[in-house]
Amino acid sequence: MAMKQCPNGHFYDDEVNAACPYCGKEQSIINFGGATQAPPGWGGGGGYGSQTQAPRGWPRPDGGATQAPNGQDGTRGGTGGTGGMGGYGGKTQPPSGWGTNQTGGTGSYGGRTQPPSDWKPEKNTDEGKTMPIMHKDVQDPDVGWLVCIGGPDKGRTYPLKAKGNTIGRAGSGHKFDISLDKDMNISRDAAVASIGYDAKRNSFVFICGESSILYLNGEVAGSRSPLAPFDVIEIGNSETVLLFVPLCGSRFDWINGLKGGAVR
Amino acid sequence: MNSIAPVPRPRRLLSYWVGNMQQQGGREYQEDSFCFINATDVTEIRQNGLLALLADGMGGMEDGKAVSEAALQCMREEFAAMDRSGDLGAQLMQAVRRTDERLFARFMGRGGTTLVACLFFGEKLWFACVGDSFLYLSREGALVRLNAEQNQQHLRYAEAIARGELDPSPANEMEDAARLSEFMGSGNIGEMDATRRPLALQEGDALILCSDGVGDVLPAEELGACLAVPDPMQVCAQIDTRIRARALPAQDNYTALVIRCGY
Repeated sequence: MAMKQCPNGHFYDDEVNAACPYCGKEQSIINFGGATQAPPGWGGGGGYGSQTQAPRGWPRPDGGATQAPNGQDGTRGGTGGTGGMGGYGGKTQPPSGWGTNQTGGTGSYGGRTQPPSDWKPEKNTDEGKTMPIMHKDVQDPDVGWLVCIGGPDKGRTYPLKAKGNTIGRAGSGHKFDISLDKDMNISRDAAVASIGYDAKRNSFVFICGESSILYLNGEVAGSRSPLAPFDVIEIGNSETVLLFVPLCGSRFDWINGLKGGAVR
Repeated sequence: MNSIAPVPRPRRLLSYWVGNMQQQGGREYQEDSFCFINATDVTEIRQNGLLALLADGMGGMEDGKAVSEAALQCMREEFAAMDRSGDLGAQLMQAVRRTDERLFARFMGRGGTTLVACLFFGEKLWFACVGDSFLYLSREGALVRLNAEQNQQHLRYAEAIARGELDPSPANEMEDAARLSEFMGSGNIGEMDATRRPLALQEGDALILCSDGVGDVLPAEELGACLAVPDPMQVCAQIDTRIRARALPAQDNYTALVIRCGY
């Protein structure tokens, strides 16, 4: 009988489970950084004398082999489809395909791990899932635009919505709100930056990704910078130059309309 | 004349006894994450404190598991860098905000998670919570919830109170009442439920951190009844048993962490 702590900070009974039942393969092994390394075995808790016992109802491996915990292992099927998600707060509308990516059904278990026999996943439902506030019934109007004024995509205009608008180059499995398809100097792997619209303060914020150095009006941009009308964004070593043209601001926003004049 | 100075007896410090439990319920993925840091090392607890973390990745958004795991990782790094002689409450809140911004930079708002972070240091508890996960304190037989949820329902009820309407039922009955108004990964957390001053812990106190898969299913009385057994791992097993007994078809992922304080 020994309680064991795995490197990810989970406790388990190593006589019941050969490996931590809470660590799936998708979980990264996290380096404790030396200072907070957990010692092997249980017992550091001070003067607590009681015997630690294996909890009842714990998943027991059949035949002694290490069993993957209930469906924690590699069940990452069926996530394709809705690339355009990104909405939270504000007036954002979920994409039309919202919720349909849960149709993987039993196929998405990949034949390796199974859910508990007494439970069947509900298909095609977000019922009870943790979700942020989203407003479905409103249109999703533009709150501003990015205009490409230099580089291979020169002349294109990209709408900004009331959410985090990601900037990147679309690749397999990745889709960005603002996709600079022709600029080969931009990584396909991750968004280079994002422009967020803050509906509460009716302002824009420019957030750098981790893949490239970005310039705002010729200066290296900080991780978060407020955006002013006609700010110029340049991306790393690429030729692309983007001009920020807001619609919402001190004169207009979609909630209060035009300042100093009624909108019909 | 040789007098023997009385040797001060080293004061006993509260020690912590922990347990955890996690199950997938009826969901396709496990998106809850949790961890304890320093839970078994008395010296580390004395010098750096014990950290318990729970994150419930949002199943309705992309890749909830990756976000909840990343949140824990960021919080662990923040915890390692804290100045133990400074204001830990402010540092914990800062850590949560920085973690939120890092999550936003990494996931660009496409995924999110809740977070309950409990820092035990010098027989005191600091906590910071974002979203709808639960933090309970059991003291002298009573189980009290320490945190409030940041969701649509609370937002609307707060607005109703401001208008002078004290009836909570319209807010409770509204559609999407459970949708979160604040979550980790939004890059812009407004409201957070956190301690500015620590809670002094006593012998016999027990804390339960749990995701809404536990907190929304079991009422506080039932959770409190689970604390009848001493071993936190057994407490967790009892919680698990009670949830399994419900056999809800759409049972959410459920995770519980239990920390008992004693000598």
